[in-house]
Amino acid sequence: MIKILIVDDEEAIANLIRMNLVKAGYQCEVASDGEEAADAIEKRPFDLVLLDIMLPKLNGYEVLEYAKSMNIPVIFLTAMGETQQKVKGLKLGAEDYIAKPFEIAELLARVETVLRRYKKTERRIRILDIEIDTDSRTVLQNGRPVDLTTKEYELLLLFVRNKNRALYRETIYENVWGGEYSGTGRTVDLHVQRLKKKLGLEEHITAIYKVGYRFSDR
Amino acid sequence: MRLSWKIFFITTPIFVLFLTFFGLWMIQDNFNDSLDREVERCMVENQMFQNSYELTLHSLSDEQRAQASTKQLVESFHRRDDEAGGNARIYSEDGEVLYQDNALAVEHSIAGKLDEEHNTGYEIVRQGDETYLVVQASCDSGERIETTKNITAIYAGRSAMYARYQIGVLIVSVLVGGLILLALFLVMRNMQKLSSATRRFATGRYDARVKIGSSDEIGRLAEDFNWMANTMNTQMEQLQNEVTRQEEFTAAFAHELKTPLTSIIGYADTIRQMELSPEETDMCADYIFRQGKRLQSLSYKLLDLTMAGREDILLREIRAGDLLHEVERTVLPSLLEKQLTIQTEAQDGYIYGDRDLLISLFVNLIDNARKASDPGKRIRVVGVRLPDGYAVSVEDEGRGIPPEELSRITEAFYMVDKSRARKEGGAGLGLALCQKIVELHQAVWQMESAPGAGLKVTVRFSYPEEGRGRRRSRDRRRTRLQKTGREEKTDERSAAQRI
Repeated sequence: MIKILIVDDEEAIANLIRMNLVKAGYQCEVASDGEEAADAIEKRPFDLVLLDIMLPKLNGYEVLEYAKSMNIPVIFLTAMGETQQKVKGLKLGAEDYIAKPFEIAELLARVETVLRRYKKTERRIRILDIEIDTDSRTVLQNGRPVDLTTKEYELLLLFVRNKNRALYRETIYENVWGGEYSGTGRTVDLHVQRLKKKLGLEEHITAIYKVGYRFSDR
Repeated sequence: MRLSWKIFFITTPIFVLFLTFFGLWMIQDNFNDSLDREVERCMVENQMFQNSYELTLHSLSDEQRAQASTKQLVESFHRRDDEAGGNARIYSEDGEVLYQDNALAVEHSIAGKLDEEHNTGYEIVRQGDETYLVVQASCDSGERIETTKNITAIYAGRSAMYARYQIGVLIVSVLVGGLILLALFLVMRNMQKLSSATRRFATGRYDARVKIGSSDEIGRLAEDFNWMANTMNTQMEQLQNEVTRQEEFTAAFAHELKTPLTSIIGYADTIRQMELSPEETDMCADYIFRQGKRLQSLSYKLLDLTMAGREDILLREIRAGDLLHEVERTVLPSLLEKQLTIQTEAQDGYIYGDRDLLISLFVNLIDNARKASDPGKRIRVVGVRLPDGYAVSVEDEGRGIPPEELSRITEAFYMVDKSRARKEGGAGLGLALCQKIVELHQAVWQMESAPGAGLKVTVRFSYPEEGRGRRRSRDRRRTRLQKTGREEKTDERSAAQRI
């Protein structure tokens, strides 16, 4: 189980992140000031720290030093949105930053990316009768390899990582294809149809009216 | 071409030209005088010779005259070695030389050009390197008497003068030219300094100043330049400070805005994407509601702050007691909710100000006191009449503020204990708003606090200048506070129209 420490003095935001990360299958702990965060980092091993910059007692940059000494990757949560702060954070050794206000999907994607970079995600994801090897980017169903295109593979990965979560067409488009979603194209729907057919997931990937799709493992 | 060279090339030749013409005129004048004098003298000598000759001739009888040669005749009164006699010649009526002192023969064409009246004339003749003055006069007896004088010395003197004067003019010209150049360069060096300072200033080095000791026009120009530069620097600094303050405010505002926005967007996003249990949905909705309220409070405070930012307000006479009791009524519900008590004591007196802004001021101060106080504590509001005004203090028994934070608490968005202030629903704008209102009323405020000993804020209002008399006469006229000062409006209607 991957353990993430959330450091934010705003209880509302800390709780929001915790709630969503737990739903995504991570184990979470919350610290509301710098000292509490430093104590937690020294006592327990974490796989990732989500760190606000403006904190009481110790600021985010100081807490970053603790995390670096324990070789724990850090993502900054910055409300300032100012380039200088971002640059400073990244220079000091943060892995990434998330500017407030953020969307949940973006948060999860960035957490996922950093964890993957640190090889902390599971290399093999098993779900239903499907097995995904993220190193070799191969997919097996009942032990037999399934031939997927790059986009189909990424689409599958997105669904699996956001299981039981409604994914908006725009979110899917932005994550798999990148760039702005125009809202008219049929690209997303066509790819989802093909993926469903190839893996026989008709019952698990359901269309949600006016929204997009949801993948559920039940 | 540079200005100093221009001035040099205009003045120096003019000076030299004038000097030369004046000198030439002087020398020529001097020479003419000498020549005239010499001619005069030679004429007189010639006259004397003629007289002597004629006297001698007349004193002789006819026989004697026939026997004696002209030479003997002349030698009887004229000695050859006499310098003053010079070269004398006597011609007969038909031009034959009857007598001559020596062989010196000067070519001339004087004969026939003699003055009709006196039968005399002179001519200046140049022969070889020498110059001669020849004077001729004809006697009654028909002979012509000629005297010649060498006047080369006069001409040589003039030439020598010319030569000397040329050297003099040259020396003086060089000297004067050098002096002019020196003076010009001294002046122009200052100009150069001024010019280079201006250029440095123009390229953005605003610390450029000119140091010129002289008190002439250029010195004064330099002083003016320095003055201008100082003024500009001061103004730029003010602008810079203003910009910095604005940036800080914007950054703090963005932060305050983004936190509730993040919560609202995040929880709403969660609700729309996830299948949540009813409890989880309730929790999300509650967060959205509370953070929405926080945004609301922030925007109201900001609006108040903008309203208080206007410079032109109407000062009215307000009974302090009424005002403070109205404030008490406003804050009472929120105080009761936190089980706090309020005690208001107001001496009889008047405050000049804007009623709404003053209520906002005291409500904010009491609100701060409420946030700092634990349940069961008391808040005291005391109004005291002063000789020249009125003072109101708000005192709590809360946790107080550390001395090092006291100076910063009026900054917008500054919070001593951020997480606590958030829980109490603070946006960090209350005291910044209070400060604006206090400044607008030209009042002063003072804060006394120690950690754990509560906070006491005292606001001192002074009466407007004209207000003192009016207070006694109980005249309900209005005073208008303007940027430029206070102006009394006696006309009730025109004041009312302005509102």
